Amino acid sequence: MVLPFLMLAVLFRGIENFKMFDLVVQLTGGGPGSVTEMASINLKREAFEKWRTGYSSAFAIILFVTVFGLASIYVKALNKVKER
Amino acid sequence: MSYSVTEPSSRQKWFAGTLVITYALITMMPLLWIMMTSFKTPPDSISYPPKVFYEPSMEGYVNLFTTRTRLSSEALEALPPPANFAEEIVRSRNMVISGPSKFGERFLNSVIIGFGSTFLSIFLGTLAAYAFSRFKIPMADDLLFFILSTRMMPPIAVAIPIFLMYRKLGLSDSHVGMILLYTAVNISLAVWLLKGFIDEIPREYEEAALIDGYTRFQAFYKVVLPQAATGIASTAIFCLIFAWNEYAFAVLLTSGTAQTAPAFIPTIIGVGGLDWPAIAAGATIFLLPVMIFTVLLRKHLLQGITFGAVRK
Repeated sequence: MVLPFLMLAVLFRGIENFKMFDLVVQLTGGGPGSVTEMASINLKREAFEKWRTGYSSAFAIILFVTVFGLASIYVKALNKVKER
Repeated sequence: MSYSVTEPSSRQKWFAGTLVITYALITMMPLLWIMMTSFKTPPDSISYPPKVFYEPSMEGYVNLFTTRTRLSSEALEALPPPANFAEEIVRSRNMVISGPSKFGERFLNSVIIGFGSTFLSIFLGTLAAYAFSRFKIPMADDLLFFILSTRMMPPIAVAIPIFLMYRKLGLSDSHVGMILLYTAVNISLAVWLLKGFIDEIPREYEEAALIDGYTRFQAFYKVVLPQAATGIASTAIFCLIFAWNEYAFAVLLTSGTAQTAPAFIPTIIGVGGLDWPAIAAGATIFLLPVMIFTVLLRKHLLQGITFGAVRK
């Protein structure tokens, strides 16, 4: 009975954590060096500090497609659990 | 509904209790530290090693709500004696209060935007979730996935297109714009969660109501909504927490009239750097509305749990 809700929670938390931004900016700023530089931080550096607009747009699309693909596989599994 | 047959032994209960309390203490440490910092004086807040025992002071809160000007000691002596405790604290730093700070405004912005977007996303989300749950919709799964996909881009990547759109529409740095934006992000969560809750409510209730002469909307309003109150309450809490804490969009898209508190608090500047006690005081006050909202809705959450036990 609870499993679909648990899986839903994992789905949303997963998506949120994939694009985690504010916590990293405030805590480490992607540093030291680039150890904690997650995808969205790298994106911000490329886009707003190095002004590589084309590169960062492409990177954003790749990020989106990755999450989209992973989520669609996960949602298929979720639907299977619901039907059971 | 099934219950476990064996009652847990007292040792198991004790172990579980200790585990939960330890975990709660660890997760609450940062919160406690913020609250402690809010009652420190600026020198205490940056002292090394950090002070655990100190003389509490209201300086952080006073600095949070006021702007201050430094005066020379002759000018200070010419002033009448301080009227209240706030002035006394400020005078001890050779300054006078020159006016209120922007924190009140920013906090009000947060309240308007947070609760406005929560209401809107719950309203739209409940209707959409009901439709997805009860009616035959062509390509329902794909539509649901499309709704979810609006959440997948990092805010930093969509901020520029949104900024350009908002500028054309005259929505940039406005309350309406931010409410619409947070609603758009939250609606995926609302629809998905609420669809799960509404799926759990047996269709037979509504069918009985429809046969007894209710219209579809009456059946939804009078039968489904009360049953889904638990789900709506918990979804509302999640939506509010998201809209309340949202930082990336707030920093990138608001700067003046519609700036929310999370974007404002870290920018509080004191003498010689960031004014940590004022920032901590801001964070402490900032916590309160969400806590109050959650406590108010807790009644509904518990009520819903007992409902569920009877229903199944």
